[in-house]
Amino acid sequence: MIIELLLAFCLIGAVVVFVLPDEYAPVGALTASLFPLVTSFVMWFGFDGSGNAFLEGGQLAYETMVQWISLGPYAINWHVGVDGISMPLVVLATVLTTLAILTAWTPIDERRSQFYGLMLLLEAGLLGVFVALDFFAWLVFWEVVLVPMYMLIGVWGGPRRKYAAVKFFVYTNLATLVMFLGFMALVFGLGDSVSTLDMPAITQAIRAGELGSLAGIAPGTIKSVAFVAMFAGFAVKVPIVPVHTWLPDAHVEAPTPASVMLAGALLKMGTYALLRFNFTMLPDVAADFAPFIALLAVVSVIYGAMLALAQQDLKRIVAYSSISSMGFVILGLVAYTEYGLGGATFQMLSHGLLSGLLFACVGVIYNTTHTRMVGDMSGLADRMPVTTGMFVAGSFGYMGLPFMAGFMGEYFIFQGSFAADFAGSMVFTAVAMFGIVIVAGYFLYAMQRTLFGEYRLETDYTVGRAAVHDIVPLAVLVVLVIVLGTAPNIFFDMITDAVGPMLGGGL
Amino acid sequence: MVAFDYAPAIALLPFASFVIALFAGKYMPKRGALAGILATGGSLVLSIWMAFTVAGGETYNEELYTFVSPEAFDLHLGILVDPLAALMLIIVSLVAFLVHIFSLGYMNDEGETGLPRYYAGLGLFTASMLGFVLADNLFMAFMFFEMVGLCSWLLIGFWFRDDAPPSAAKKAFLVTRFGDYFFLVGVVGIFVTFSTATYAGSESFVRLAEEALAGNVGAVNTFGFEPQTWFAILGLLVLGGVIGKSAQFPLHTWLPDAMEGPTPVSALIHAATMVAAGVYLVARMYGFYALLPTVLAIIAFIGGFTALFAATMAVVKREIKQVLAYSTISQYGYMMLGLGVGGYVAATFHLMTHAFFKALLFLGAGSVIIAMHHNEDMWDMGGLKDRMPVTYWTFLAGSLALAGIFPFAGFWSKDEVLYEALVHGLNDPLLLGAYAMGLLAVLFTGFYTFRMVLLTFHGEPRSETAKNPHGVGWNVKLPLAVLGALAVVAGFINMVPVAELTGANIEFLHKWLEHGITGVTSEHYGELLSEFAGYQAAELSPLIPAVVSLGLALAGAGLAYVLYSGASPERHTDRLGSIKTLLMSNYYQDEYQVWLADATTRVARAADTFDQGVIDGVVNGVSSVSLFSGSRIKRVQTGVVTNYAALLSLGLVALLVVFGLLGGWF
Repeated sequence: MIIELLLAFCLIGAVVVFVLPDEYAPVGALTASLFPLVTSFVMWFGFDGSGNAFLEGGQLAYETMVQWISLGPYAINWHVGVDGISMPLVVLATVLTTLAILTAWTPIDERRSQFYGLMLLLEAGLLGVFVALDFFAWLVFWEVVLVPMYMLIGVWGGPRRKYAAVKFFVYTNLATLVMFLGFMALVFGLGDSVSTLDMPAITQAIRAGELGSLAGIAPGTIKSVAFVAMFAGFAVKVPIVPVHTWLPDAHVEAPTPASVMLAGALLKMGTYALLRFNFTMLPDVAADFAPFIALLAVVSVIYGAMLALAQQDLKRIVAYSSISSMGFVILGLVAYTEYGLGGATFQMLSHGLLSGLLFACVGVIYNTTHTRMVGDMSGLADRMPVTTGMFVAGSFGYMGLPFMAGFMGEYFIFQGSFAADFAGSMVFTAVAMFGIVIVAGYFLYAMQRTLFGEYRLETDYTVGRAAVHDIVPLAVLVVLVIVLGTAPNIFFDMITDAVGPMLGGGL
Repeated sequence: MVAFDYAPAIALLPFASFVIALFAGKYMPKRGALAGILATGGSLVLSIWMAFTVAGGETYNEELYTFVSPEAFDLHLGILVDPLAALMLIIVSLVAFLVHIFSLGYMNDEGETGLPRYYAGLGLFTASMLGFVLADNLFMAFMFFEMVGLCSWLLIGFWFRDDAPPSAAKKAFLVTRFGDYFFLVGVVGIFVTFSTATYAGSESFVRLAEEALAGNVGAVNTFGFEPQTWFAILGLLVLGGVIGKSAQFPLHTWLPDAMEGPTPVSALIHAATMVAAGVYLVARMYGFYALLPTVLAIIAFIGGFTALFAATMAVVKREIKQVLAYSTISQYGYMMLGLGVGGYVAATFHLMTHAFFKALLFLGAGSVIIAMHHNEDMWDMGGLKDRMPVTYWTFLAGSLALAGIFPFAGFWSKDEVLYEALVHGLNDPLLLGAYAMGLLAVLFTGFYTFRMVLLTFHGEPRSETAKNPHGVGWNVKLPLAVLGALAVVAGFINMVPVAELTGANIEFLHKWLEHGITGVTSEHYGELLSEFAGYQAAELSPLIPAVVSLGLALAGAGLAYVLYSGASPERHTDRLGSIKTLLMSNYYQDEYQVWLADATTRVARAADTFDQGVIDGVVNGVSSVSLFSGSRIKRVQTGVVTNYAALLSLGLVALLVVFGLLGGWF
């Protein structure tokens, strides 16, 4: 029941905050977000699952399974639960939401109760995506996430917010449609062998080879087509080059808290879904396509990093670097080894924290300077020493400094993919690893230009120290990044326990 | 053994001083300096204890903390204390300790601000280097290698309000990161090849490589390559990191710029921490390199070339720290040369003596810079000899050691490196070439060293500040005195030519490195070198080569004396004409690297244009082509949540109906 409680806290919190007067909304939202936060920690500390939720032998933690709707041959269940892959992501989502709400205190000054209400609704959707095991419920949550994010960008965003919001909404929604068709092809292909939209049941049936032909199309073809459709759909969310262009626009226009959530948690929906659908349900097709997927991953890493190198807007730099970092996740997934899959999942966490941290840092700088352009400011270190320290820590974390989470995630992935089974894995990995040099280039450049040198600011504002509630989220994230980088096993153990069964068959 | 239980504290103490200085430094009387002095002093005491324990025949090789342990192999922190590590621990903690004391004079007494940040940086720098030295495996070594890089960035860019230091810090991190990229690929490759990255023990990658080459390929995956070839690739990849951190050609360009940092930091970077890390890494996994003649030859050649190349540039520099910077590059070239030609002990010996005399020279230069009110131009100095005698005499001892003049420390170690190069080179023309470059560099070293000494301390003062220099306190003189003594006597622990001549058993460093853990001793390396690398030493008395190199050093020094010893020396290097321009411009090495960086940025901009124009253009094109849907979407944008929710629900129901129909529900 605790998962239902978790979701209920978010939804009730959202409703309560929505009707609160504006002046109480910030504190109210923060308080409301503490309920799911504490609940998720209780879940984590009491976590007793083992194996993979989608595969045979997987013991879910906090599982609920009740019949919900019965339509024709398909039963739709309320089936939720967490395993070693989803548990860390649940914790990530609740932690980020609380911190993102804090980052909103300074910049968000109109329609506050609506803003915070939407943040909590967003949290509900995110958590739902990570805990739902029935396709119907999962898809509902998947779509629910879009609405608050669309509004957060479209209402509280920058000058081109309408364009960015619509682009985000249409692009990802079209992608969902493509993915949906792909998945349905699999469901129909399975015919009578499944009677529910339960994702574990579907996965196990596919892996047991029960996929039949559909309308004269051979099962092998269905699998390939479904794989491609789902991959294309999820790729938009990740995003993978070349379907990434919505991301920088969305980030640049989004208010800071929305950026924190978008980069920190929403992008992980894409890689999480890829892991669950493409790589768990259809590992043999994934193996066939592996060199091609690895190529996409490498292109995302290098091309994304090169784009980041060309930017002058701090937020765009962080946005493009997300594309690069998420490319590493794809590389880890396609490696299909313990280190690769585990590292990919770990990298989702570490990137969630680090990108959240950097967007929050840029937000704090923007709050006081009202500019994000590298050329508009320099020498902020004197006036904002603590923020500078956090920005430095975050940047080095992002560059993969040891004892911070990013290094561990990326190292696991490199280790896992270097000797993966697909052709050319060594070359793909070595090329992708060059991303760690480029990322150092643009972050060092950005820090040198904005934080150091003589103090100069092109806008008419006075730079002063940031408020304590601005600094708290940064400090918490820095600490979490260091903890996760020093003791990765607090999550990596359960992650490898959950990815282990994936390696058993299929490849 | 109880002593080794305290080994982690060697690195943890300076780490604690980092934390204290960072969070409590501004409330403390010396802004964190005392914590740093206590911590590094504690590390020094513990290191000496380790050395005594090791001298008693004990060694330590244990895993301490496991990061993750999946089925394939685990990633862990561990500690390896053997004679090599014990020696290096003493060097690092001693130099760090003295640098902390010196900083009281250089930073606190000069009224610098931001001192907690400075001492936090020093503490973390020392801790990282000590962690690197203690590491029992390559993964841990890489982690601390990178931490060292971070600390160099923090400290080189300490004076962040000016433009040059942040830029130099960026360059240092970026250039070494470029080298570390190869190192990281190498670490990953070593793991997948051997399933371990530990240095010592029967399950270490070094031992597995040895067995694989001996024909027992069993546990090793070489991905279809010949083991020899594949191991050479791995060795070269790791070498990339070494070349970056130890500032070898072509990745040496960051080091002269790093002079933008405070001078005590330069002393630390050059003598004991960052730059030493690269060479130490090769020595640490020498059992692996000793198997690979091709890689050894490359190491030797890079080393010899760098020694000469950097020495020529030092000849024309105006600023005292620039001369020292290029001398550092050159001296690390000697160490690489020593390692490449099979002179493991010689290179380690030079690493040690160099740590002492280079720390001494930097701190001496720091003392001069205090006296000169932070003017570093040697042409503004002159005549400081009588005004700062302690600095002069210690600096002179360091210079004699650097130039390799008998009987100072540098003479013994550099001479042994060259001797090893010669005796192995007589059987291998490639190594002989490396030797020739190293030998020629001796001449340049003697010249630039004494040009520096003469311009700084001799003749008439050439500026007002040089006439009335600022005095320096005990906290400057004490470290100079300690290091000055070491620059004189440190070479006596390993006087190979004397041992040869008299038959006395006084090659203590050879004895020291001979024992330890099976498979990681100099004795074993010697066997590997002759068995796998085919290295054969020619029979040759060490006396003649020693006389030759001493003669060259004296010739260089003598030339400098002839040219620069007058009351007001002329700028003789101007006579070199365009060669001087070339040397002053550092052979245009910076230019091509800047050009590379610019070219990358241009490619990035092109990629950005492509991305916005083509990729995003297609996206926007698709959306505007479907005008109908476009206008629909515009209308959808009412901004009311319920509308969106309704639309979404409707969409979902529609989809359900569609697949319900297809699926035959109805």
